[in-house]
Order: sequence, then structure tokens, then C-alpha cells
Amino acid sequence: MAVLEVKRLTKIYGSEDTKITALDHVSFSVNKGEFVAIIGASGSGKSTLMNLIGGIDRPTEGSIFIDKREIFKLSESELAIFRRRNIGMIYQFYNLIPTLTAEENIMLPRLLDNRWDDRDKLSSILEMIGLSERAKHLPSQLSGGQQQRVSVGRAMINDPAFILADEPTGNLDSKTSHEIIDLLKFANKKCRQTLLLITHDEKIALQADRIITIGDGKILSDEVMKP
Amino acid sequence: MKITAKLAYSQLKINRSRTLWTLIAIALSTALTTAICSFVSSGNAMLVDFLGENYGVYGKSYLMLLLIPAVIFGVLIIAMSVTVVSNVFRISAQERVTEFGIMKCTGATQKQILDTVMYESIWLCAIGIPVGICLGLILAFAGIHVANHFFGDLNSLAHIMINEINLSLHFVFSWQAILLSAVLCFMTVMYSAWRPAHKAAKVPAIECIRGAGETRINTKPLGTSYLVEKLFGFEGTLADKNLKRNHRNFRATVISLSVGVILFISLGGLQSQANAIEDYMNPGIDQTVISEYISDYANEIDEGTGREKTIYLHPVDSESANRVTQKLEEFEDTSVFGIGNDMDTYYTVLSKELISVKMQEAFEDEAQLNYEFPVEIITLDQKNYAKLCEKAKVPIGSTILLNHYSYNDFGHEVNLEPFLSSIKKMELVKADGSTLDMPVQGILTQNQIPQELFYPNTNPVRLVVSKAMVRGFSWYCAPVEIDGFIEYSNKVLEDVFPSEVNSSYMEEGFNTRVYKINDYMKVMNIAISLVAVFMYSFVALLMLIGLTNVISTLSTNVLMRSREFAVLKSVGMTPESLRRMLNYESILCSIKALLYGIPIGIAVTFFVNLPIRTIFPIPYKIPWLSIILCVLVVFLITWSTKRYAAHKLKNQNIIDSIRS
Repeated sequence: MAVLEVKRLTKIYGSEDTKITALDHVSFSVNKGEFVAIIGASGSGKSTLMNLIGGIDRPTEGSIFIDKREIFKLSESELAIFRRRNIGMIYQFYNLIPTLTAEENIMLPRLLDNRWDDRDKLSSILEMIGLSERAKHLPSQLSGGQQQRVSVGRAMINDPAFILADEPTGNLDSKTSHEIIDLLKFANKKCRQTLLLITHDEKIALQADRIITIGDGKILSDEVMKP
Repeated sequence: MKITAKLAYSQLKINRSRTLWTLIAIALSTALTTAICSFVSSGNAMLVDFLGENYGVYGKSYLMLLLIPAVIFGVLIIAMSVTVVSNVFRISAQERVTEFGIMKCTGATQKQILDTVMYESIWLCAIGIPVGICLGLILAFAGIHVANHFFGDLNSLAHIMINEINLSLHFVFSWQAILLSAVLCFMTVMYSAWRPAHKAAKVPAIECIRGAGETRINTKPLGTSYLVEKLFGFEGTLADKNLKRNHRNFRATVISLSVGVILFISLGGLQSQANAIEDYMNPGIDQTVISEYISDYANEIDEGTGREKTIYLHPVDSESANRVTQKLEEFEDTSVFGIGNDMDTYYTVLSKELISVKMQEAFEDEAQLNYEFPVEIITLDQKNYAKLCEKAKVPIGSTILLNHYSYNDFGHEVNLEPFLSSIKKMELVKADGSTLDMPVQGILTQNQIPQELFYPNTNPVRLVVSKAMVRGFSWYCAPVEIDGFIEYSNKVLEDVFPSEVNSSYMEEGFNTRVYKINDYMKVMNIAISLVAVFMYSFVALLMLIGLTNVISTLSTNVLMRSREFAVLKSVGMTPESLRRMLNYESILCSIKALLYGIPIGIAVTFFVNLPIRTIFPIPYKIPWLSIILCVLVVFLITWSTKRYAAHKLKNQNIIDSIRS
């Protein structure tokens, strides 16, 4: 069953003389429970694709279906609410709210729905990311790896349709990178969490079930690694 | 607690000094609004006290007298608060643009982003407004006390007023006033927060994440002035560029400083003009007490000529006047100068040949053949009339023309001799058309006329005659023992012009009074001082609101730019030159404020002078003193904020700032 369907997605920046086609009619789909890596050199259109799938940017042409809903048909607020319930995002620079504690940052998507309930879910996530002891700490009191684990926790709190991770290890040393990837893989295997990972690191990409390679805004290859 | 409220709360906690200064600004504007509302209710109570409910016949105009200044002050306060508070929130929103981006990516709606900012303003109001109301009540209480001090002085002079009055303000605790100011301030803060919050909430998530957000940096190529570079060196150039590229951050600071400069200069100009008017009104005579008799009059239209004629109900003749003069002189060591005049009975038509060229010019229309003038008939006490005759070298019983006319030529007093000395007689015409030939035996020019006769001096044709029935008579007296004389004089007037007890002004058809010449000046003086005290305190407090803005902007600026500063430091900028750069920024800021403020302030005082000039011979003067004071104060403010910034910079660690 396809969780994500991308159809003829095109994004053009600028106009007339300075026109840059970042994405050129890209189509693919991702099934539930899949771990897909999207790789490409810098400037290939990875981040544009990520922003579009995350619903924080709008395409010039084409459409995206998440759980059979066409996200760009939603209004700004509908899309925001849809995002907090259905998409988990992880960034290279953690992007935590500096004034909230680790557990509040994890709970943020729920807090935005005014839900403080389900402490069990929170503690199971804290346990999974190994930060039960540091739940009350502020981001500035955590190391880079710990901060990234918090953002993985935040991405998973609402059991989203899929997790979208944009270079989640780009800012980390190799040991910590491993920990984060292992954590994501664990979530993928144990919880059947669909995972979309954007990276330029082939070693990390090789751990995925499927690798989509992007270049010049087009899909260059789409290979299934492990059936 | 809702997450949006919590985020707002932590935002307030992080930037403590900005929160504090914003609170002070909100409290101050609430205080000022409350004070003004309280004053209006106290003033209202006072007016009701001596005018009755609805303020009697002139109710509307008294109400306007109370409401118009209140509204003007209110608008000024609100404008200032909006500038200050919205600036705080704009900077706050700008600071948190990345945070908003993260929230949006995590799925916060626009409304939720808006809410976090609005909660911030609610928190601030929750503390600032109650504090402000308390402050405002104290302020109103103190202000009323000060006003009563002045009113006490005024009340002691009340005997020169037409009606016996007793001015005093009571502190009125009016919950309507408090509620009004609380609501007004709440709305002001909410509006100020809503504007920047609304803008920030609309920025697309992707731009927030990139950190672009609301900051619009001016990308045009900028030349820095050679002067700045020469004067302040490289640090000056950096400061100049930052000010120019990032001018929105400084705009509120420049505006609040400019508003202060404008208000201050306008006040200085107003006060100096009020003082000039006071000087002009000072009659410049030696006498200290005036005893006065004045008749009521009625106007009617003459059926034959269609002219308006004035009928005096109880005119006074020279005999009665002389009786008073004699009696007044009987008081020991007292000299008396008695003048009676009639300005409404006669007019005369003179041909061009008798009128001096200057006078013709004054009337502009030089082609005119005949000029019509109203005639003022003056009669003096016997002694002074005799002296005047002697001066004019004419026998007693002659008519003397005072050949002097002064008028106000748009701020400048012009003195001239209106008639040629060939004038020998005038034909005086009454409103009913009857005429009277008046020979002119003597002529006196400006420096021969006694000082007492210059006051008032608005008529071109002034004839001193030996005897006449006139509307009123004034005795300018110079007694040694003033208070005793006033009592004595009142008795004399009562004897000669008996009136029924307890009849109020003009009920008898005439009125008498005795007052010190200086009393009018004193009343005016007190009134001017009272207004000045209030205006200056108001402006000072308004400026305090502006000042909180300057400080909070600066402190946030330093916080927001910590990364930029760290980068500068890491490439080798010394703390001294960093501090110098900040100093130059504030200096340039104040220069900018002065460049806007001073010309506008000068323009305001100039326009205030325009209507004054048409009435009084008071030319426009640039209020240099206020301008110099303003410049000093503005630089003092920037100097102190500079110290504050330097203090903040001390606690900065390069690495932390760069990594943040």
C-alpha cells in the first residue's frame, strides 16, 4: 500500500532569465514500512523534494498524495494540522525550540493539538532514544547527538505516515551518526515506520531497502536493495 | 498551560531586560492615560461644582475645553506606545523567526504562531497595566496637589475676577476612568503586538527555516559618507552601514527621540511666546492700583442712517469723576492719574491731505480720498489735563490731538504720526448723523504723551477734551500703603456711585472695582506656570516611554547581533573598537533624530507664532535654548545607553555566540 505518491512534481525557481528547474517531473511512490534513501549531489534537488514532501513549500506543477490525500489541495492551516499529525520531520540542524525541555520538544506536535495525554507513549519514546534521564533538560544542555535524538523522538510521537529525515547525520561525527541511523532503522523495523532519508552519504544510503538517486532535478535511478 | 502560552512565557523569561523595559513602557503609558482620565474626572467634578450639572449655558465649550486636550494627550500617548511596543514585538518576532519555522514544520498553524506572540502581550499587560494604574493614580494625586498649590495663589487674586470663584481640584477615584485607561492600554498593546505577529505568522515555513523571515536587509549598494569615515574611522563606517542597511530596527528609536525633540522644542517656543505676551501686556507705568468705574451699554441700529449706535446706560460726567479724584488724593502720599474715555460715540471723515504718508501706507489703499476713523474722546482729571495743556502750549479748555498711532504689522510694532500738523478741526459725526465741529488746538506726539495714555492704544484719532460724558473712568493710583488704599478706594467709589448690596456684575447698569495692576500679570503668570509645569511633566513622562524603547531596542540589538559581534571579534576586532562601533551607532542615531526633530520643532513653533503675530507685536524667534538643551539631552541618553550596551557586551563569549 502506497503511503506516499509523488506525481509529476516540478519546481521552478526564479523567472525568465534566472529560471532554475530544481525538480523536473519527478514521480515515485513509497509503500508502508519501506526505508527509502534519496541521494544526490548538492544542488541536485534533494532538499527541494524534501520541502515539498514535508508540505512546507508548494510545487510549480504536479501533486503529492499522502495516505491518499492530495496535500496541496489543503489550505495553509489544514496543511499545518495535517503535517503535525502525519509527517515527522528531522533536520540536519536539529531545529529544536531552545526554550522548551527535551520532553516538551518531543511532545510539541501533540502540544500544538493541546494534548498532554498519553505519557506512556512519551516514556516509551524517551526510552527508545535513550534520554529518559535527560527529559527535563534544555536543548542547550544536550550534546549534538542527543539533540538529534530528541528530534527523532519528536518526529515519531504522533506515529506519522512516514518520517522525513533531511541529512540527519550531516552535523554529527561518525559514531553518533551510526547511533542515529540505528535508531531510525530500529523504528523502521520494530514499529513498521515508513522512513524517507535524504543524504549524500552512500554508506548510509546502502543501509536502506531502496535507493532513489536524483540529479539535475530528475530521478536517475530507483533501485531496490533488499527485497 | 497551553503550549503557545508557555512559549510566550519562556520568551519573556529569556530576554529579561527587554521584558522589563517593555513592562516599564506599558506601565508608564497606562499611568499617563490613567492620570489624564483622572484629571478629566476631577476637572469635571470641579466644573460641576461651580457651573452646575451640564455646565450651564456654555456647557459644550467647557466640555470641549476639558476633552480636547485630553484627547490630544491621549492620542500622543497611544501613538508613542504603539511605536514603542510594536517595535519590541517586531524585534521579538524577528528574533524568533527560525523558531516559528520549526513550529510550522512541526505543524503549527498560522493562528498558533500568532497566539504565541499574543500571549506574550497578554502576559505583559497582566503585569504592566495594574502597575500602571496604581502609578497613574499616584501621579494624578500628586498632580492635583500641585495644581491646587497654583489654584491657591489664583484664588487669593480672585477679587479681580468678575465673579467670585474658588478653584480647587479634588482627587476623584473614578472607576470609569480606570476602566477606560485599562481598556485603552490593553487594546494599544494588543494592536502593537498583533501587527508584527501577523506579519511573522504569514512568512512561509521554508523562509523561516532559512532564517530570512521578516528581516529585510537593504541590498542596494551603499556608499558611506567620507565624513563619517574621516571622523569615526572604520568602526564609524561599520556603524553607518549597519544603521542604513538595518534601518527598521533603528526607526522606532529615531522616531521616539525625534518626537521628544519636537515636543520639547515646541514647548520651549510656546513658553517663550507666552512670556513675550506677558511682557507686552505689562503696561509699564509707575502706578500700582487701578480704581475703575464702567457703565453697561446697549447697541441699537439708527433708523435714519442704518449705523449701529452705542448707548451708555450710566455714563459718567467729569464732575463725578473729579469728585472721586479729589477724594482719592486725600489718602496720604497718593498721586492719581484719572482717565475717562468714550470710544463708540463719534466717528470722523478726514480728507487725504490731512493724513501722513505713513498712515496712508498703513491703510494700504492709498488711492482713497477720504478716510473714516472712529474717534476716541478722552477726559483727564483736572491736574493732569492742565499739565497736558501746558505741554501742548495751549490754554485750559482746549482740545488736544494725541498724534500717535501704533499697530501690529505681523509681529512688529509700528509707531507713527497719523496726521499732519496742519489739522485744525475735525467734524465729529454721531451714528444718527448729527455733527459737531471740534477744533483741534494742540497736538502732542509720541514722546510728549504721558505713559498712562498709551494703555490701551488702538485708536488712530484720540482727542483729549476738558469735559465729557464718558463710558468709564479709570484712576491710576500710586499709594504708599497699598492695602489700606484699596479699602479706602472701594469706600470712595461706593460713596460716589452707590449700588445695591449683593448685586452682581452690571445688574446696576454699571460696575466698580479696585485692583492691583500687577494682579492681572500675576494671574497670567500663574496660569502660564501651571500649564508649563503640566506640559513639561507630560513631555518628560512621554519621553520616558520613548527612552524605554531606546534601551530595549539597544539591548535586544546587542543580543540579536551577538553572533555578528562574535564573528567580528574572532577576526580580530578588539573589544574597544567593538564598543566604539556601538557608540558611533548611537551617536549616528541621535544625529538622525536631531536632524528630523529640530527642523520640525522649529516649524511647529513658527506656525504657533503665526496667529500670535496677527494679534501681538511678537516676532518669531528660534528657541535656541530649548534646541541646545535638546541636543544635550539626546546625547546624554545615547551616552547612557552606550554604557549599558558596553556592559552587556562584557559578558559575551565568542565561541558560544558563534555556535549558537
